[in-house]
Amino acid sequence: MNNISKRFPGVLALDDVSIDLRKGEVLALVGENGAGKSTLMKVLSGAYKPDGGEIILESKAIGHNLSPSRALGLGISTIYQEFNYLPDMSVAENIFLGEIPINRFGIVNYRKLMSGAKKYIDEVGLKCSPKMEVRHLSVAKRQLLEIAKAISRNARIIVMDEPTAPLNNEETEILFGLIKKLAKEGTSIIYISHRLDEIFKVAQRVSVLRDGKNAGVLDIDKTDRNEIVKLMVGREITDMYPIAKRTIGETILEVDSITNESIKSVSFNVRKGEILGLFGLMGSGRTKIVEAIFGKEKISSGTVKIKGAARKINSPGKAIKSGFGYVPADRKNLGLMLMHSVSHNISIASMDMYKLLKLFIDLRKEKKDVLKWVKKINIKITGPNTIVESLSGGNQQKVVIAKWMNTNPAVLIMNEPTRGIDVGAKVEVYKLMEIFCENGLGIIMISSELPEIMAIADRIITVHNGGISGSFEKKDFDQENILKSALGKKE
Amino acid sequence: MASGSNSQKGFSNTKTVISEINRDWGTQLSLLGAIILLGIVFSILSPYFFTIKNLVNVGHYMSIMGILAAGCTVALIIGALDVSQFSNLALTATFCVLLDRAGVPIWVIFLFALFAGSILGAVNGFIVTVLKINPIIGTLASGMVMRGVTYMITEGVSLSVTPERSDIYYALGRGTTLGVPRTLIVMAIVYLLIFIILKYTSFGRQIFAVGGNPEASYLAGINLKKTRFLALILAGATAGIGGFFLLAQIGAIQPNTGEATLMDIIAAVLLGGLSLSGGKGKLTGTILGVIILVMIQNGMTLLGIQSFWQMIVRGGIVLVAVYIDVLRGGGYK
Repeated sequence: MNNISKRFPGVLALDDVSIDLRKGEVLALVGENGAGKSTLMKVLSGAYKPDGGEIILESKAIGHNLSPSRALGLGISTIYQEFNYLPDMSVAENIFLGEIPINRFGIVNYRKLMSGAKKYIDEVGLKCSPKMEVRHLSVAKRQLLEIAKAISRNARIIVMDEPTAPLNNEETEILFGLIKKLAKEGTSIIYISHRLDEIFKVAQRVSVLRDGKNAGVLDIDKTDRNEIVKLMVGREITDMYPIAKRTIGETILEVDSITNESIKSVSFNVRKGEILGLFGLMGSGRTKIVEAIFGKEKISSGTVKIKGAARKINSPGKAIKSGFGYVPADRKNLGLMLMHSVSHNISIASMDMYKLLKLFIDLRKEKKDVLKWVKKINIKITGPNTIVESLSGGNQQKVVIAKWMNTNPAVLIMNEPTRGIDVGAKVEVYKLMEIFCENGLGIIMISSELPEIMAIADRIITVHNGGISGSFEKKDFDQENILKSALGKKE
Repeated sequence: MASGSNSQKGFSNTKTVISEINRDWGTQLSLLGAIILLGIVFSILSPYFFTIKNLVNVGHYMSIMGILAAGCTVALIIGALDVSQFSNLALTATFCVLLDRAGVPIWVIFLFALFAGSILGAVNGFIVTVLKINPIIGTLASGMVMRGVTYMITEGVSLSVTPERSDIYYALGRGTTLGVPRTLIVMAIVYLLIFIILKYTSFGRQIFAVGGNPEASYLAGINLKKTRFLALILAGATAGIGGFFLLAQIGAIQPNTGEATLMDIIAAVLLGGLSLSGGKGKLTGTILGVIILVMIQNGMTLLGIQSFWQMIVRGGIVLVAVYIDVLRGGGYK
């Protein structure tokens, strides 16, 4: 791809970007959110038309009329973050979607369909029957299915956008094995990821984008993490985890053997000014636990005591009144009203504070508080009426955090608070957590990134299969032991 | 150097201001332009169009539709389009006629209309929140039931109010104060009340929030069922008010009232900038949408365009209105 430019109303998303991909190579593509990775890949897959530049495939210019179907025909397959599959159809039908084998009467040839599918299923190591409906597959297996789909179309180039985001470590290893195998067989892979460790495991070269421009191409063998991060952010980040010495106060939250359909007798407590890390793999029940505490899921037995008082919490509304805040992992779908203003998003969970004559909203007080938070946690906006959708991931996350801090919680639950936001914003989020702790807040933090949770948390409890499988004090933090505990292995 | 960066900042600020005006008021401004344009075209084509008599007439007609559209706006912002409003109106008005014949005082009849409309709205609320039926289908079905009951009660014929009181009804429905149709004043009061609810109460804020993202709203502590229920009651209440004043205007109720105009309200609110997927909208847009639609109908009638052509044009307007919604990103995916 040479000198690709793409302009959206108001922004130049790609400015003269070029990348080259060799046969049988894994090229990592990294950059902060909004750097243009996804846009570039959408140009390659034919979803967007570039405003300038050209794409050359095996020394032939592709021209400007690239469409998604033509890109597939040329052997360019893209696996997006949100997969495209039909959940109620079989694995085989999903693999051959759009080119189902038919006999001469135009009727589906099921035998050929199943045997053909079986071949690709085996090739990617997807252990399931081709007849199985896709909705019964785990997220990891769906990922493999997407790859099977790409192979079935004789893909010469496969683009993977954050493929490991929903996978656990074992599943990630399987995926890496498959990527290496595909590369050896001559398929070229463009691998987009926020997780730099992965890039060192799987890629040969890394191309860095920054603000829609090329920031550099590096050979993986000759570079290190710091150099890549420096190219990504354009400055050096010396202190990734700004940890101060915390003063931990009295117990503020006591969770005593809460149980429901998906969690088993979970007990723990959180103290003032403390960050408790909740670590578990995807599907371990870590989100179910915090959602039960926050009243989103029902609790069948057990008690939750906050600020010393037992509370029966059966809805998020009750939880908020009791002193909980919840920053969900899925910011866009659960955390924000994207088409509404920053101001409305920040105040929505604390409307009770702005009652004027019972019925009305005290708009002046609301505006004052919103501006206070915008300033305090440095949300970069032109004004409180800015629409949240137009903000970067990091600023959106800050809006979510402001919303919850404005409810004046005693315990803040943060589910993957740094997911999908760029490095600079991550550091800012850590700093905020630090400030909140200083002011006596108790924080429960869920993270799937072990280095992050080990650096930030004061204690870590591991979740496995809906129950607590281990507890670690800061001095006993050890990557291997925590992981073992999260996998449910006894020492 | 400093002055250079300042002027640049000033420039970008002007740009943001313009883009914000465009974002917040773009729809309204283009609708206003269309209204002026249509006004000029119709005035040239028909000398009768821009006369006081015609405008008062249009005002009467518009007010009923406008009142319903205000309630529809609330329902649609929360993402629960209510298509039963005109059936609600017909049934409520039918009850009103029965009460009138029983000699009930008119102000009680008005309060009853408000109450009956709200109850029918609450039925929709039950269908949508408790039975969790898709609002369009649910209200389509409840509307059919209401319409059926109306036909049953009226036995399919038009019922008029008691002749002795028809003057009072006439004064309410077709009278003017300082030249302004009284029903238009009623409409203005309804708009003012709903405007205040939407903009200055936490209930209004919650309506927008639930329409914008129900799951995030739930996590922010909002009671989804209650909010949706109340929004549909509000839509029903406006239908009840509309029913009373329509009865006052005509002095009688026909069981098929509004059967053909159901889509007009939807077209009006969509033209006014609401989205079928909910979460946004402005009352000013709705009223402008209503004005455009009524103007087109009136203009066509004055020009002697046959009713089947009018039907085709109105259908076309619905499609255009929905297509504008698609262009704004609320499309069927």
